[in-house]
Amino acid sequence: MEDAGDRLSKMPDDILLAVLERLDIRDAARASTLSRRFRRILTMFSKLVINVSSFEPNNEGDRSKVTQGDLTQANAVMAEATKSILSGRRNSRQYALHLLCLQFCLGDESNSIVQTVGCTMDTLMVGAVEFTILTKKEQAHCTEDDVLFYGQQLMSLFEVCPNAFGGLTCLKLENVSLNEPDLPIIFSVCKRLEFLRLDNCDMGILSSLEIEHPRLGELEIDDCRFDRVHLKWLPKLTMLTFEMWISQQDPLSFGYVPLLRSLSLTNICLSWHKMLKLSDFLDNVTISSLKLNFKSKKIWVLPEGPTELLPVFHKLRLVDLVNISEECDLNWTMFILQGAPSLEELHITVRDHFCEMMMDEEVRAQYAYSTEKKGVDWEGATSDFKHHKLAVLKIFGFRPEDKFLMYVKSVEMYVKSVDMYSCLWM
Amino acid sequence: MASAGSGDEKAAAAAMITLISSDNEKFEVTEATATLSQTIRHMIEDGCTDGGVPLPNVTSKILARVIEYCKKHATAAAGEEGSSSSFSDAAFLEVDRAFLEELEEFDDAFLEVDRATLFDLILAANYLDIKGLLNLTCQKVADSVKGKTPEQIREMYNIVNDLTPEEEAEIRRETQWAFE
Repeated sequence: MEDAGDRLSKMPDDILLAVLERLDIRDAARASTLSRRFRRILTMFSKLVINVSSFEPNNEGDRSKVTQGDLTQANAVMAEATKSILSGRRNSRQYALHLLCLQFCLGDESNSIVQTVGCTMDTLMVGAVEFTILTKKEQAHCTEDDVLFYGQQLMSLFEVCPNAFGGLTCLKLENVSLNEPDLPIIFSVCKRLEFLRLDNCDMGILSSLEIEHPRLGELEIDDCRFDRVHLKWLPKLTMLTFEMWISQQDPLSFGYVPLLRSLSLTNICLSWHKMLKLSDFLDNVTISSLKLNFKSKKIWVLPEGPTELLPVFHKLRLVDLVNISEECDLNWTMFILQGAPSLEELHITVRDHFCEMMMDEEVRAQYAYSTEKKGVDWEGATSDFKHHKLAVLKIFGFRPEDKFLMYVKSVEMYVKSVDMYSCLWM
Repeated sequence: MASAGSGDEKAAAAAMITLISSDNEKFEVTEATATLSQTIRHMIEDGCTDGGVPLPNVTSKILARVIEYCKKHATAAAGEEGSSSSFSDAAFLEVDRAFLEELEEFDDAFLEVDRATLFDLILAANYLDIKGLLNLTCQKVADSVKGKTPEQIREMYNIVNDLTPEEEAEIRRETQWAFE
């Protein structure tokens, strides 16, 4: 039988690597003990992904059973693996390393990881270097003291080896509370950064953040308790994701962001949140894609007429309205259609997220959930309004009920050229 | 098909390409199917497909399978565009999801082959530069190795361990962290 031969070993290098690079780093390292053919594979990989999660005890995928001690142990082994793999790379420089992607936890063990990466970048050309820096406690279990402590740990990690951070192209941080100047320091040290994610990070509650960075192309800010984030000077920024704010005013302002095209906003609207007036809010940007996620709660944008919206919406081609409560009427979305003559696609997801909803009136009041109705008052489009560009309307969560049928009819009335749409039952 | 698209698209849909396997078997396929292969796409662009495309590295048995894959995925790509109904029809379609599920089922069934065939498919996908098929087949091999010990993998793929005990011990030392 043909299968009798050793077909895997006989594959050309690029195919063997295409197979082995798909493996978890531990499986890949074990494969290097198979035979001579496999011995050097870790020095040949064009991308290396080393995750602390590969070294955690399995616990049938239940992360809540992983203890702090387990994580410290996993982090230490991850550091050892990083050291051994990267020293192999430094000794054998025949193959280019295009991507080095490391995920580890803050802690004393992580110093050696960062030092190893720093050393590697001094001696090797590495295309892209990505750090995901986790904390040993998940967000839900972090106290105020925890995030302050993690903040200190993060800043001392920066001091250990600034040149490792100086070469990073992607950085993801979570659960750190920093001192006032720390984030600007991080931005100035990480000068090659193209992607940044901040998840539950702040510089004290309701602090302000100004961001300036020459290379940053994508920015994600999730659940950070800033009063205001000002994107002061981000000449390369194209995509911004901003989720969950606590500010009572507009949570974001735009300075010099000439390339910003895609904006995604998610929030649960509480009674004290300010409604966003898009014509003011987006005053300084020209976006082509806008996603608004209402998390099944109140709609937090103010309807406006086309004259106000046209200056900020004139290049808008895709709008995605996500998690509109099933209680909510849809007619208000017409103001977006009317204000955005270039719109080509409109996606709407109607869904009540029961796990995220608080139905109990007392609890709702306690957490300052809005008591007003969820919908938006909208007087309707002018009768002579016609939309010429819209080509795709997708409704997820569609049901053959009056609300939806009427809505589709009214879109049909205003839109000239829709030649494809689908409504999906989810 | 007849009513779909402009005249140009119709012409493209009708254009047939002949592929010739290493054992000289001829396969007639549409251009849409053939151009899932970047290698063939470039040949078509360069106008060197008259008289058929010889594929000396691919046997008829494997080529038949590759064409089966390309046909399915080419129809899928066309279906995505073709499924549009006119707005006034007000037909509500559950397109995307069902369609992706079906494609996934097809891929799973397609991969139910013996190891020799799987490696032949990898080589063919690589030679013909069919990204989707190469990803699919390489992932299948990777999945088969996941979580296995070196001994299990050697047995599965008939790999002869030609390392001296000293060499093996040294690699083990360097990769101790992978065995804990």
